[in-house]
Amino acid sequence: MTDSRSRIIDRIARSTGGNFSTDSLEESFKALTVKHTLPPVQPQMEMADPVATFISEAGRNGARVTELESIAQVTPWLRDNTDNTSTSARFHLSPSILTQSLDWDGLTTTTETPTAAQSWGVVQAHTGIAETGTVMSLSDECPSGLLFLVERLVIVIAREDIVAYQEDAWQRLRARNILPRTVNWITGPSRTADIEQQIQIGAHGPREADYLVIDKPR
Amino acid sequence: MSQVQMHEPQPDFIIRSRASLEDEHLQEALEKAGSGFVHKRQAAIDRIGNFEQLRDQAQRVRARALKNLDLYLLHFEKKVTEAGGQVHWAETPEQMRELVIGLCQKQNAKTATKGKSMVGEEVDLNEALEAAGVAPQETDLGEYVLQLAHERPSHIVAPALHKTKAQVQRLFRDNHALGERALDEVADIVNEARAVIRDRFLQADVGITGANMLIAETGTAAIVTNEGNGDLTATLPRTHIVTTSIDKIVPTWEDASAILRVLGRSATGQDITTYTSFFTGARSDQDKDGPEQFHIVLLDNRRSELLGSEYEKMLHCIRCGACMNHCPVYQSVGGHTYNSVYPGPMGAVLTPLLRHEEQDNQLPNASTFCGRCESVCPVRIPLPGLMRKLRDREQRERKHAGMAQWAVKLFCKLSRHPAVYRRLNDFNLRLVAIARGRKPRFQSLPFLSGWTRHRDFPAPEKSSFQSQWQQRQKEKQP
Amino acid sequence: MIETPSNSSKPKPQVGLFVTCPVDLVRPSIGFATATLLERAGCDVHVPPQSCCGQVALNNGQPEQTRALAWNIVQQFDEYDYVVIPSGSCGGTIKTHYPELFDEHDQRLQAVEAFCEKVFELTTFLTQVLDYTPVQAALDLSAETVTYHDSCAGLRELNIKQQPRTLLKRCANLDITEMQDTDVCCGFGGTFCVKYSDVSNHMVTNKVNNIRRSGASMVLGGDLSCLLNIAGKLQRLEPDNPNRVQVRHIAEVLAGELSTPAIGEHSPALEKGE
Repeated sequence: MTDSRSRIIDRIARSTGGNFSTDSLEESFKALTVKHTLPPVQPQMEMADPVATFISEAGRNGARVTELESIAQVTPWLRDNTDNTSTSARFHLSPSILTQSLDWDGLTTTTETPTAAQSWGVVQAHTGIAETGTVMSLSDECPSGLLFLVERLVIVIAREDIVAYQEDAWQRLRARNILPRTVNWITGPSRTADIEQQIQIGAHGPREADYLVIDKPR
Repeated sequence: MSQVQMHEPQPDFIIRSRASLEDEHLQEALEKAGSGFVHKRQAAIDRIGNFEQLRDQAQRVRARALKNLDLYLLHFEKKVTEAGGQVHWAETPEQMRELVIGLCQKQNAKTATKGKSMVGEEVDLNEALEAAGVAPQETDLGEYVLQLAHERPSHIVAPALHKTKAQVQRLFRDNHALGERALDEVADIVNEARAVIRDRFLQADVGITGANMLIAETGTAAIVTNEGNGDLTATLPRTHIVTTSIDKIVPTWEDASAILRVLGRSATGQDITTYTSFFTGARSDQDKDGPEQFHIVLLDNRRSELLGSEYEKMLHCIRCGACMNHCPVYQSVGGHTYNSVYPGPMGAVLTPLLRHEEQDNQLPNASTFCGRCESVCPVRIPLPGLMRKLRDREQRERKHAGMAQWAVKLFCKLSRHPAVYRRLNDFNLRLVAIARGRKPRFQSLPFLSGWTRHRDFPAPEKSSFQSQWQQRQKEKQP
Repeated sequence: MIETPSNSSKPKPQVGLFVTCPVDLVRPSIGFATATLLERAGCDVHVPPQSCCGQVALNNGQPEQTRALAWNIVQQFDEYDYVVIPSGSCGGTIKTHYPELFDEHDQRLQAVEAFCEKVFELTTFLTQVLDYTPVQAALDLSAETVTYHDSCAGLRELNIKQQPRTLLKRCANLDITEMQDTDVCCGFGGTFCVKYSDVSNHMVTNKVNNIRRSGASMVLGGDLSCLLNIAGKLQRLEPDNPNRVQVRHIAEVLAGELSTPAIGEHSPALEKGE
C-alpha cells in the first residue's frame, strides 16, 4: 500500500504545492503552527469564577455536583449515598484515588474490571473544564474502560484543577510531556436519542455521573 | 447481511421520493424528529453570544488544514508511528476493505465491535467483514437497530431517524429472546440493547471506530459520542482500528477545540457531547488499559481530487448533520430517498463527487435552493452554490440536452430581445385569456401538470405589465 | 441614505423598475403598486423593455445563457440611479450571483459589480435607502390577522426580514401574526415544483397548514412565485370555502391598492364577463 500512500500524497501536493521536505516534517509543522497561531475564539459566557461556571455547566449537562471541603469527606459521602440505593455495591477505584489515604472501611472496593450491575466507579479527574462542565481523565492515571463499564461514576475533582477553557486543559496536558494513549473528556452521564429523538439517560456507559468538587485535595 | 439489493439498479430520486412520501412509518418518524434538532441547535447557540465568530474560526481551521494537507497527514503518520500505531492508506473503498480485513485476519479475529463510522458505511465494510468470516457487531444504538433491520443509516448523526419506536420494538421482539422483559418505554429498549451488547464489548477481538478528527500535532484520533459505545469499542479489544478519511485532519489540539465548539451545538444542540475521546497510538507501559495495536486506515476515494477544485469547500464538512436537519426536502422524504451513505444537502454535493454515477446527478437537482443548509453550516460551506456547480457539470457532461434544457435555452434566447419577448407574451396571454373564460384559476394546464396535479394556477390578466404600462404612458401624453 | 422627498431642491432619484417575469405575466397589479409606492416615496419611475433576470438558466446548469441575460439587464438599466425589484428571488439572482458569473479577467466584471450596488429589492429600498414613512397610512389593517411568508432567497441572500414588517406597520398599521416555520421554504423552487412535484406538494402543504394554524385571514409575501404556489394550494384544498386565506404581495398592501382581487380569487369584472 506504499504506492497508494505516495499516489494520494502526490495528488494532494498538486494542490498544496508540497513545499516541505519529508526529512524535516516536525520543523515544517512547527513553522506552520507558529505562523498560524491566533488567539482562540472562545464561547462568550460568564467566567469570572471558573469553578462556579464548571458547577453550573456540569449540572446543566446532567452531572450531579457536590462540593466537599476535603478529600477525606469522599468516603463518608459514598457511604451516605449508597445507603439509599444498595448495600451490595462494589466500588471500582482508579489508581489515582487509591493513592489518597482514605478510610474505605465498610465499602467493598476492587480494582478489577467492572462487570456487575451494582458497580460504582470512583476516580480522580486530571482537569475540569468550566466551559462545558467537562472532566478530563488520562489513561495513565485511570483505566479508560472503568469510566464506561460502571453503572454509576463518581469523579473527584480538586477545585484547583478546574480551568476555564479547553485551551487551558491542553496547556496542562502539554506540561506533562507525556501524552497517554487515551484522553477522556466526560460531560454528564451516557445518553442516547436514537429512538425517536427522545433523550434517554444511561446508554452504554454510566447511568449516573457524580462530580465531587474538593476544596482541599490533600 | 442483507444488502443484496445494493447493486441492483435503483429507481431514481423522483420514484423513491413518491414511495417515501407514502410511507406512513417514515412520515411519522420524520414528524417526530422534525423540528427538535432545529430548536435544540438554536437554544445552544442562544446560550452563548458569539456563535458566528466560532463558525468563522472553525471555517478557518478547516481551510488551513486542507491548505497543507500533505504535510499534516505525513506529520500525523509520523506521530502515530512514534506512539506505537500504524497508518494505512486506501485510495479506493476496495482497498480499505482489504486493509481492514487483512488487519482482522492477522489477529485471527472472529468478532469485531463497531462504533459509528460513516466512512465504514461508505466502503460497505460490514458486508466485507462478514464475507471474510469476521462478525461485525454494531454498538451505537441506532446502528444496532439498523443491523437488525438490515438497513442503511438515513442520517449521518441519527442513523435510525427513519424508524419509529414501534418498529424498533418489533425488531427487538423478533431478534432477542425477550422472555418477560418489557419494551414499552424507550428506557426499556435502551436497557435491552445495553444488556445484549455489553457482553459483546467484553468479548470482541477487534474494535473498529470512525474518527471525527485527526490531530496532526500528536497523531491523535478524536471521537465524539454520547452513548459511550465508541470508547468501549476503542478501549476493550486487543486491537483498535480507525476507519476514516484524509480530510478529517486538523493541525493542533487548539484547532480540534475550534471544531468541537461548533460540532455538538450544530449537530444535536449540545455544547459538547457526553464523551469526547482522544486516542493516540497503542497502550504504553504507563497506560492502565487500552489496545495493544492501533491502526488508522485512511480513505481517499476521490477526496484528493477535490482539493484545489471548485468543490474543495465540500472537504470542510465536519459531518454534523445540521444541513439535513434544516432541509425541507430531506425532512419530507428522509435520507434513504437519496440512495447514498450521505443524504441531505451535504450528500447531494458529496455523492456526485465521490461516487459520480449517472443517478447521482439527480441529487443536486432535488433542491429548491432555499439556502437554509448554508445558513446553518458550522463551517459555512456554500452548499446551494456547490449544487449549482454540479448542475452545470451535469449539463456539460451530457451528450444530448433534454427537452427541458432546450426549453430553458430557447426561453433565454428569446429573453435577450425584450421587444420580441413582450409581443410573444402578449400573444400567449390572449390565448390564455380565451382558455380561462371566466375562471379565476386553472385546475389543469398542459406542460404544467406537475403544478396543477397538486394546486391551482391563478389565471393571468389579458396583457402583460409591460404592455399595460406602455398603454398608460401613452394615455398620459398630452 | 438619500435626501427625503420633501427636500425638493434635490433632483428626484431616477428608478428603473424591474418587475420580474411572474409579475409581468401573471399579476401586473404588483408592478403598478410598486410604481405607485416609489412615486409616493419621491422617485421618478421608468420601465425600460425587459425580460428575465436569468435565474431559470442559472439554476439549470446554463451559466453561459445566464451571463448573456445578465449583461443585457446591466445595459438596459444602467442609466438609472437605482434599480428596484418587487422580488427577493430575482433581486438575489442579480445582487448575489451576477458578479459570480464574470471571472476576474472579464472586463465587464467591474461594470457588473457597480451595477449590483444600485440594485435593490423593494422593501429594502423603501426602508434602508429612502426610509419611506408615509404621512398617513395607506389603509388600516390593524383589525385583521395577517401573517407573512419569508421567501428564501430574499431572507437568506438579501437579509430581508424586518423590512416588510417595518413597512406594514408604517403603511397599514399592521402587526404581523407570525406563523410557525415562517422561514421554511414553501416548495416552489423554480423548476423544482414541476420536476419534483410530489416533494414540492409536501412542502407547500406544510406551509399552508402553518398559515391556516396562525389564524390569519391573509398571508403576504414579497415574491409572487411563492405566493402563486401558496395561493394555488390553498384554493385547491378549499375550493368552496369563501373564507379561505387570501394571498397578496406586500406591495399591494403598502400601496393600499386592494381593488384587484387577491391572487387566484374571483374578480367581479370577470364574473360579469367584461
